[in-house]
Amino acid sequence: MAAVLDAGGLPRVDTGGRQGLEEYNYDVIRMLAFATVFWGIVGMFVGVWIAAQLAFPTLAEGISWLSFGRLRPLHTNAVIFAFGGSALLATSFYVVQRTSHARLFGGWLPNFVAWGYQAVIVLAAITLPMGLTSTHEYAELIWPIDLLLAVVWVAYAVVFFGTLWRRKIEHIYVGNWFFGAFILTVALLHIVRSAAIPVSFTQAVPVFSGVQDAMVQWWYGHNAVGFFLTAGFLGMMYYFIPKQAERPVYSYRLSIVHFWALIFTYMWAGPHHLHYTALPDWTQSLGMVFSLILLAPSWGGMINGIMTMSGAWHKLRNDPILKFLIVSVSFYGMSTFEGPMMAIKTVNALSHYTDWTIGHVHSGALGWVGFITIGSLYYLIPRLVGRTSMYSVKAIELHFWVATIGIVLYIAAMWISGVMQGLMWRALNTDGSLTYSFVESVKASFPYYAIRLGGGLLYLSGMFIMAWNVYMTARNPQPVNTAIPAVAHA
Amino acid sequence: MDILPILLLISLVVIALVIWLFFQMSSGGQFDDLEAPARRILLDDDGGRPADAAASPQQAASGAQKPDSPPKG
Repeated sequence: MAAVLDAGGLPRVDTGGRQGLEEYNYDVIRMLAFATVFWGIVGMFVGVWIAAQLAFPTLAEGISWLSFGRLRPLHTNAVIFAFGGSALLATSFYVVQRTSHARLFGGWLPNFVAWGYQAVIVLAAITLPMGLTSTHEYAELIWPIDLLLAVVWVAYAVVFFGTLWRRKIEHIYVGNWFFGAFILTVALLHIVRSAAIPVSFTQAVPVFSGVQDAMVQWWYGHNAVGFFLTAGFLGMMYYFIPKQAERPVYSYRLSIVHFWALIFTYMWAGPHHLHYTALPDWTQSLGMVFSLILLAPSWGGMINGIMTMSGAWHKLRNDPILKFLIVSVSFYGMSTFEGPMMAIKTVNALSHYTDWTIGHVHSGALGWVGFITIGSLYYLIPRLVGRTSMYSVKAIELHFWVATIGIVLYIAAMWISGVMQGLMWRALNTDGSLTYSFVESVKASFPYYAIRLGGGLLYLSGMFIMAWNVYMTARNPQPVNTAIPAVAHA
Repeated sequence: MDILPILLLISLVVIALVIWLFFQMSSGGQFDDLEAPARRILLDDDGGRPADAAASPQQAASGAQKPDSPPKG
């Protein structure tokens, strides 16, 4: 295959007379990869802002759309669904094409998915600060946006599975199993959680109420963690770590086994979010037991990801992309150990409703989800713009250290303040009265809130370094070889 | 707690589908070879540039191009 620049100077690749279906669709991936960086900055900026409000509560006095209550759902939606979601769309489209040797299915449908998804994000960014919300955590969008998201998601499933269906490689690569489980389960979760009866254009009455609603909420919420934030990003891990390390997955057998074990176990862990509530006791215990079992398949993936480096550990010295990917998996191991521990009822009695939970979530979000995404994008973006590497490898190294220090500050501060809050709230005087009032625990949390703000600022600055690096890499795109290689054997 | 039977039913149906799918795929031979698929993705050269344009002025620290990768097949 020879590359040519056509008369107009536009990058074109001669595919040897084979056109159309014989080329991978990179355009949609490129847009989604840039969108990921953009939404990362937006989401993390809002996060830093609300972290500042927790330390200095009068910052947005009187301006409702800048208040914590309005912007906290915007932060979670922007980082999980806009940053994480765009990254999952981009990487799943890349991985499914490259491992199937097939172009994305459905003609214009991938574009509809990508732009429809961006439309959902923009609508969320408008409606949430206005206070338009369904009030369900991580599912705050109002019903018209929910409907749009449902349509986009079904289209996403059609594109992904359509591409798999016409794959030219008989074997389905393990990463695609994770992406596939993520896509199907999120569709189911979204539809059940968002079931509501509209009463006006912006309001709807949820189908469930009270403790029933709470159970649906955490069945949804925990499976969103399990399938959106875990399975999806494991799909990323199983492609980009082997590719960047140039080593096959440590144990391909383990990857298959832990996939089926993981999707079997995650479904049942949700009730651990509702320990010591009106939920029946047996349901709480069931949730706790399955959460503990979950440690095994989770660590199966963690060990498999890290051991993929065996024989190539020296590469970690010079390759900051691998640093991102491997540290990400380390955080995955840490937070999937911490999670089952916190699901034990006696531990939960201390940790629940404290900042420990926030620390746990951010160890997973900044460490696992953020780092695997950033590492994968640093691998992906040069390949989408016809470069062999990012503009500045030093900047990736700097990004890595700035972000790592940011995470450590963030989660250590939240661990300390969380345990402190839990101990203060349960402390009793000899006569049985509470030792501390609630506001005393708030006051004691201040230094940790300030440290957390610093950690968040560092992580956000890392994203700005990344944005600069991505701009410098992409500003002068070169021809990209998108030709689908011929398959020698099925 | 009317919701619990509903959620249990959904989860059990999903699990049944998962088990069915696993055995379908297993008897279809998807999991027969658990060595070659792990290596096949490494043979796929996704360097992203046309072969004759691969010479780059930039550092190749990310290992984007691997000249010693054996050809496919």
